[in-house]
Amino acid sequence: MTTNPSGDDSLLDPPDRKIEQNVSIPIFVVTVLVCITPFLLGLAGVDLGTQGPTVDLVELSERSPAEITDTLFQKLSGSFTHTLLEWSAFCAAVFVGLLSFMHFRLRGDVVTPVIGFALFSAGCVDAFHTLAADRLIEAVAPITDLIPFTWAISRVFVASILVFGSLLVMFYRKDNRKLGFPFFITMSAITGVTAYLIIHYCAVSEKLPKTMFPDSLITRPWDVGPLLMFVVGGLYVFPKLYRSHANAFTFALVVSAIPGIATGLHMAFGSTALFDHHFNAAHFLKMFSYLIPLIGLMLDYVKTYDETKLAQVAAEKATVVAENAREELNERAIELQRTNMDLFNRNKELDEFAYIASHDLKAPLRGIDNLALWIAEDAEELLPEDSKKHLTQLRQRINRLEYLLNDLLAYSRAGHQEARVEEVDTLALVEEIKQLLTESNNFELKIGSAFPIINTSMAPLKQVLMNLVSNAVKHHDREDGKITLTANPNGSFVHFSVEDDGPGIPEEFHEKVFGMFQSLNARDKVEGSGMGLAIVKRMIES
Amino acid sequence: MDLPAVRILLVDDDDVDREAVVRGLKKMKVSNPVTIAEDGMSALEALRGEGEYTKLQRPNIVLLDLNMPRMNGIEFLQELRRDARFKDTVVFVLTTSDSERDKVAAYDLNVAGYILKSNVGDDFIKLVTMLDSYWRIVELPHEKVI
Repeated sequence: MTTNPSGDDSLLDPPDRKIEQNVSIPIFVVTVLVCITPFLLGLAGVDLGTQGPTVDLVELSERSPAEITDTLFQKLSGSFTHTLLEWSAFCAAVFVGLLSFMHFRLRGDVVTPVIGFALFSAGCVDAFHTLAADRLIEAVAPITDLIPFTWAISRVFVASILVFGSLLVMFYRKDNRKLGFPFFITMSAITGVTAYLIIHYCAVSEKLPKTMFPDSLITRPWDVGPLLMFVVGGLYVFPKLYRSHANAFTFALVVSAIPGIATGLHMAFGSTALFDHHFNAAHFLKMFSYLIPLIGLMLDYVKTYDETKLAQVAAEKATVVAENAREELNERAIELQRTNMDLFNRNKELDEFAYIASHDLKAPLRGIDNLALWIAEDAEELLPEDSKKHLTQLRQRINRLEYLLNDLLAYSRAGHQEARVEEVDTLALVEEIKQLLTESNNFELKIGSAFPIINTSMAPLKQVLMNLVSNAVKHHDREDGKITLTANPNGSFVHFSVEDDGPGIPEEFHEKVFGMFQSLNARDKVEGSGMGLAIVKRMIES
Repeated sequence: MDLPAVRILLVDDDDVDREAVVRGLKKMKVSNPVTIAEDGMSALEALRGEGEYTKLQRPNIVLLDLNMPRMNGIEFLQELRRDARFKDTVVFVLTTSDSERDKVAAYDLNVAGYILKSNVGDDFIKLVTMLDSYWRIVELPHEKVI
């Protein structure tokens, strides 16, 4: 649904707003009832004619002026009725035109004003017909021919433009051309010009064709054409237009074919004289056939309003939902932040704890070590061999504890040292490691090629490689061995590997060795805190 | 040299650590007199000759632990440097703390050196060796007239 009134990019596929069956059927029923009521009334003996009394004008002239005026008025009652009915029809047509433009402003559907303007033009022809019939407009031709002819031509005109206009709309759409403002201008121009030409012709012609044949079966043959057109329109053309362009207005068009047909029937086969029963019935039904599109437009307006309201309510609801969702999201975000802060603080506390613990535990440890040493020194002569051995073991375990504490501290720091990213010459790094770890033993450290200069944090990388190489040395089953360090650049990463010819780690322990304080050898055989790989793992994963 | 030997003021709250220094001195046959103070306040008393202390004679150097109750090493240093009579005292910090902050604070208060207890080897041998060389080579003033 668009509310774009510019018309240039108007709907190619208008929304489907079909009239529900529970509404459309009663409408049809009511319309049919209204249309056959005059006929039924006629059967029942009711005479809707307003031909007025037959008056002997010579005799009349001898009456009083009041009587004469009164009788004249009565005589003209047919004309008055006719004027009332026709002018109502014209007013209805005017309102259809106006409302159809308002409809376009609301909906942007150009088909509505096209048909609305067509009906308005037909109404203008009817207006001319009425004014000419009331002698308010001077016309050249005799009035007895003018009135019926203008009626006939108006019927032909309205039937034609409705049927052919609808066909043109559908033809245009099939061609996939946009129904835009140009289309509307063209159609309205054609309609308007034709209407004007008709009126002009009627006004200036000296002789107009005869359209009333009271003695024939078909008293007004000119009404047969429009009758047939309304049949075709009502059964085929207007329904097709409605299907492709469903809204209350096109639906009303379909319904209005019924009074159109009824009008034609009354005029073509019923009316023999001006202002008789069938004449008035036909005029009434013609007005009715303008009223129906008018009601259709008003219903559509109500529908638009309702739809807008619904949309508004839905939008408001959606806004509320969105607001709630946003609030909830905000709350969650705040919660998340709080949790993050908590975690951060916890981590900080843990680190501080680890630092303080290892630090504060070291002090008495050193005291113990010293005391053990002094006892060993001072009481050397007094101690039995076993006690001397015990003291040695005592000092060994003290050392181990110190190691453990240091490594624990290193582990707690491993994750969060501010890793400054800098250019690191990894070749120089591994050369340094080689010096540190294999200078004083019989191990051979082979350094592969391709050690690049990369941007990384040096301290963690150095620690990781040192731990791995130191493990290789520590857990070797021989006093000498070969360790190979290689680097493989791989896209934006470098793959470092440390290989040794030692006993290796059995596959079942591959996960376990990365745990804390894990060692595969008995503690007294190989000195180590068991933290080396745990530290490596933590550094790499952070 | 017949100058009086440099007196050592050992400020540490841990008795084993203190004994380690004393044993180290004894082992290296260093006979410089040692005065003990358990915390910063006692150390100040020792320098000023207050409380149960007689005034510590010059020349002297201070071996200062940092983590002590009542008045820790840094607070002691601050007091020391504020006192016109003692602000020129040579102080070696002897501590377990390797925190950068402590080092900076100590040197900010013009310590002569910052030594980690864990570094100086068993019985503080290396410390004693260093001190021995220190006062053999370095000249320390005796009297200070205020």
